[in-house]
Amino acid sequence: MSALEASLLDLDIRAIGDGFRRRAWSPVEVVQAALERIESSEPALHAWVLVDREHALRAAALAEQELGDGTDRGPLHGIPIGIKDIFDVGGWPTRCGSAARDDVAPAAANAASVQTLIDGGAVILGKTTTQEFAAGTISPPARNPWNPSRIPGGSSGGSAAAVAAGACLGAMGSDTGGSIRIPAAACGVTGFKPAFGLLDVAGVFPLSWSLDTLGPIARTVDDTWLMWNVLSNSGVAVAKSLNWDGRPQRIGIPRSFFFASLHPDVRAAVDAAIERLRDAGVTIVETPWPDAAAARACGFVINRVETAAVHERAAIEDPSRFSRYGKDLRLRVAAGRTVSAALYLKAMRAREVLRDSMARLFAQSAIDAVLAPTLPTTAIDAQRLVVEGTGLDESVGVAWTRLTMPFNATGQPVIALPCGLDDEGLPVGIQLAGIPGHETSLFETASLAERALDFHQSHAPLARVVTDAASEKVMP
Amino acid sequence: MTSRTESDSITPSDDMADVLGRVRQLDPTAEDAAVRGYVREIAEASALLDTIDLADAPLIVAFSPSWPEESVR
Repeated sequence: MSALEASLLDLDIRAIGDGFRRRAWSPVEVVQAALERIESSEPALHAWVLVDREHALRAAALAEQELGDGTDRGPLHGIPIGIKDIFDVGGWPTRCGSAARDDVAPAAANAASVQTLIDGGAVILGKTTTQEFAAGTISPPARNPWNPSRIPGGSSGGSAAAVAAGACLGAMGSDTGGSIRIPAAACGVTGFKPAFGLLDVAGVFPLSWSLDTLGPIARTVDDTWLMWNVLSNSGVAVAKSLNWDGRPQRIGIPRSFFFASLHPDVRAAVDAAIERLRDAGVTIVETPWPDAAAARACGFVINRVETAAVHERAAIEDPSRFSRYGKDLRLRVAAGRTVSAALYLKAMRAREVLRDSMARLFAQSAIDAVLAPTLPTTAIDAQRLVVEGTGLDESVGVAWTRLTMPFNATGQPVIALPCGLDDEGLPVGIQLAGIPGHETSLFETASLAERALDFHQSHAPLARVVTDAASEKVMP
Repeated sequence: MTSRTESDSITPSDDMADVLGRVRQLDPTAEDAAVRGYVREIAEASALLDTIDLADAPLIVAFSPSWPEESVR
C-alpha cells in the first residue's frame, strides 16, 4: 500500500468525498487502500468472513465513472462499507456466524438497508464477523485493533473492529441488547442504535423481533451521521453539518444504576468525560431512574423468549443442524422455551410503562439526553473471558449488556462514542440516549460531546500506518 | 441475571427437574449447572419486573417507541 493510499483511510467520510469531487483521489484508490488494509490487518483481527475484492473494485469503478458523468449519489458515493453477516447481500451467503449455516445458499437479494446503502453509492467490501446469530458479546474469532489479545465485543464485533482498523469507513451492525454500542465502545469507535422500528429489518436474520434495531458503526459522529442520513433516506446530510448551534444543552446522569459496579478505570474516564462536557458549557444534572434495573430485566426476558421462538422450529425439525449451534445458543433456545407466556407478556406490558417512565424523566429534568458508560470494563482477554474489577462475579454476556439493555427496552435512540483510554491503552466509551423522533438533536449533542472529549482523532495501533509526508499530501 | 454467586434455590426442585427435562428434549447435552443458571436469571428478571406497576399498562401490547407529545422538550 502506498503512503498516500494508507493515509486516505485516516480521513473522514466527508473529506474523502470532497476529494472524489475535486478529483484529488478516486473511489478505486480508496477501495484499493481499504482492501490492502484488510489484507494486512486480517491475520490479527479476523474481522471479515467474506471479502469480494473483484466485486468491490467493480463497484468502485462504477462509482468513479458515475461521478465523472455528473451522477452524484450523495455522501456515501464511492465509500467502502462492511456489512455484518446477518444481513443479506445478494449473491453472498448469510452464515450468521454459525456452523449450522456453513452450507447455506447465497442470498437472492439485498436486505432493505443494504440496498439503501448501495443506492446511495456505497461500495460493499464484504461481510463482517458476528457472534453466532447475533446472540452474544464476544464475536469469535474477531479481535480488537487496540490490542489483538482482547475481544472486540459483540455481536457486531467484526464491524467495529474493521472500522477501528481503518479497513472500511463504516459498517452495519444490529443492536438487540447493545450489539452496536458494545463493540463500538470496546473498539473506540462510534455506533448508533436508532429508535426501535425506524429502519426496515427485511433481509436481516432476527434475534428478537420486538427489540432488533439496525444501525451504522463509523469512526466519528459525523461519519455515523452521514450513514444514518442515507439509511433513513432523510437527505439532510449533504446540506447540514453537525455543528452545535450554541443552544443550551442539558444532559442527565442516571448514576445509581449505571455507575454502580464499574471498573475503576472506566469510572474515572467517564467522570472525566462528564467534567469536560461541563467545561464545554453543558449543564449536567443528576437524573436518577429507579426503573433501570427493571428495564434491563424487561429486555432480557423479551430477548430470551423471542430468541427461542426464532430458532425453535428449526431446532425441532433438524436436530442434526441444531447440534451444530454453539453450546451457549443451544441452551438459550432450549431453555427459552420453558419461560412462561405470563412472564413474557408481563415484560411486554412493563415495556410500555418503562418507556413512559423514561419520557417523564426527560420532561421533568428538561434534558436533551442521558449519559451513561457503555460498558463496565474495557475489552477483556479473549483467552480468559473473565470480567474483572467490577466487584461482581458476572459472565461477559451479562456484564457487557448490563448498561445497554435498558435502552433496548425503552426503544429510544442511543449513540455510543469513545471518551478516553484506560491504563492499558484500551478505549472507554459513553452512550447518549435521546428522544425518539429527535435523532438530529441527539447527533448534535453527540457532536458537541465528541469535540469536548477530543478522542475521535485517535486511532487503534493497527490502523496507524500513516507517514507524516503522506498526511501533508492529503489533508485538506 | 446479576451474579453467579446468588442462591440456586429460587426454583423449587420439582420445577427444576421439569425444566431440565424440557430443555433436554431439544438439547440433550445441556448441562445441569447451565440450566440452573438460566432459570435463576429468569427468576431474578421476573422479580425485578414485579417492581413495575402494571395497573395502567395495556393488556394488548402493540409497542411504539414514540413518546407522548407533552414529554418532548
